[in-house]
Amino acid sequence: MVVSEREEAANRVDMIDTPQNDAAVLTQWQVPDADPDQNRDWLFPGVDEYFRGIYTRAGLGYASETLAVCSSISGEGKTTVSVGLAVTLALDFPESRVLLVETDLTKPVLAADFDVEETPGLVDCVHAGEPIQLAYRPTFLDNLHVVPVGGPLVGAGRILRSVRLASAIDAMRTTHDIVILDVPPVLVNSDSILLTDLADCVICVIRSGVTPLELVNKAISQLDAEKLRGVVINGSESAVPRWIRNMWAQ
Amino acid sequence: MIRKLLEAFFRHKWLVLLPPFLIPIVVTPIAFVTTPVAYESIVGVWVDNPTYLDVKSSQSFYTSAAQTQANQLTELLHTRNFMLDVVGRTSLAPLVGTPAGEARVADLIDKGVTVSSASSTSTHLLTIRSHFTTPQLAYQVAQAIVDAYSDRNSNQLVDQSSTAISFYQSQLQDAQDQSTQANQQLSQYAIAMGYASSGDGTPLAPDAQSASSFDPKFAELQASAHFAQQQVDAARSALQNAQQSSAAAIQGQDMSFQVLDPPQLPTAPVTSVKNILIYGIAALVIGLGLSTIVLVLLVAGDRSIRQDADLHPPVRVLGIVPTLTLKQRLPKALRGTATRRAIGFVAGTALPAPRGTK
Repeated sequence: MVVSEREEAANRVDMIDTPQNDAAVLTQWQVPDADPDQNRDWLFPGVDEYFRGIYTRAGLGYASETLAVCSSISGEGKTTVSVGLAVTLALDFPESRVLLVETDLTKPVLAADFDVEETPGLVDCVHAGEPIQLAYRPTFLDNLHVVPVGGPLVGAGRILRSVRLASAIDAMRTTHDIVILDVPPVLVNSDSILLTDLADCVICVIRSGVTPLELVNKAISQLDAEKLRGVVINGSESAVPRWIRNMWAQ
Repeated sequence: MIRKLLEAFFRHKWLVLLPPFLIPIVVTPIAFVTTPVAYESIVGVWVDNPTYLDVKSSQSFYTSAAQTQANQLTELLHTRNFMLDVVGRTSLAPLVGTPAGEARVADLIDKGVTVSSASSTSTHLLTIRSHFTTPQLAYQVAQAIVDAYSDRNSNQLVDQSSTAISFYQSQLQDAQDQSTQANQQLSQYAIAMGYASSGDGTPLAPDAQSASSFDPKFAELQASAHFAQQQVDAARSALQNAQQSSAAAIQGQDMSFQVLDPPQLPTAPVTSVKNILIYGIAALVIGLGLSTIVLVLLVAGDRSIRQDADLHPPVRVLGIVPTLTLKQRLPKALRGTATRRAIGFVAGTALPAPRGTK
């Protein structure tokens, strides 16, 4: 039984070598029913412009790249920024294939966010030595796929440090133009350093009004300065009334 | 810096505004309850500028009589002699035996007695307020101040009058002595020269009246006697004037310090609104100071990053994403991931579409 499943998986991997066959493989997963309001605007009108500005300033979308989105501590909104960037890039570059990969084992949320199966995910495939394509989940956007972290597995942290992970990310590069790695907090989980090393560029997310400057500097100092494209300040909100800000601006 | 202060103020507005509101709200009732009961006795006095004997007044033309007397009385109350005079007329008298008691009494008088014009426009009406913990003491102190001040003024005038009258009396006595001496010399000379029969006051001989025309010595003695008599008349006149002035001043003293509203024994305690207000204002000031300290501490202690200027060393900021909060009420299970699902719903999340969204 197990052998037959592996054979099926191998066959599926053979089929997704090309983008044309990719869609056929992905249909194995239960694709959510098409939303009748699929064409409606964002629930947060204009929020795509924020993410559009971020990827433009980071120089993303015009070449095949692997982006790591990290933060210094947890709860800073790196998954939110990752989702926003992935969706905006997929919408703005329909010819590019975007993959959003969850790597934070401690707080897996991507499966719930996109309402897809949790397993097999990234660590399952890497642990079993199976093709990473088995962890791809389709979305309503044809060119956007997500990879939940999967698990939970004993010793999953070691899996992220294995050579297989690098191979898996290489495989992702072959199937997708833009790979976005949602990595764990830099100061909390040392796996994130490894993951950012595997990426081409890094964005660090800072929670406005929460993350102390010292922690941000400490996290940034651990990142490769050449790969760091910049930081994103998330959750910015001024408590000063608008009329005072307007008066101040004048 | 101002931006940070404003940000901290509006972000923690309740914390910052709490002290100026809370402290007066707490302190004022406590001050109201704990302020000791006080009784007040008020004296209304019609005053005029002090009258002195032929002394040019040193009072300013622009200072009213009420202000002058109020200042004078207030200064006197700060003198040990007058204060002891006042206290000696009250039930506080036993306290003045010791230095500590005197200090206590001075403090009580300083805090409990207020002397002022009846109003800002009042020129002659003086008000003395005696504020003490018992009605008897308030009344006694008010009465004692009036009595002591009145007595002092009277004594002062009597002293001045006595001095002036004594001076003029001595002048008159000197003049009379000189006149007597001059008359004696004249008489002796007239007798010796035969211008008069005796020195007992017998009239001079008829030709003696013309002796001055041929006897220069006699004429000189006559002139001296005449001048001495003039000096006696002048001194007598001055003495009479001094006696009249003295009598007028002493009588006028009553007119320049008329107690129109004598002190009454207070029957009900007065609310110390002033004290309560002072406590309330002090509490407000303390609260504002505390708020300022809290605000400064909040700004100084906030090491978090809110905008690109807060990053040291500078790092390239790719973007600032505002707080994204869904206004729609969501099922409890979705609240944790609502923002991400809302952002990614176009890619297939199962977030239900908000009502009316197309």
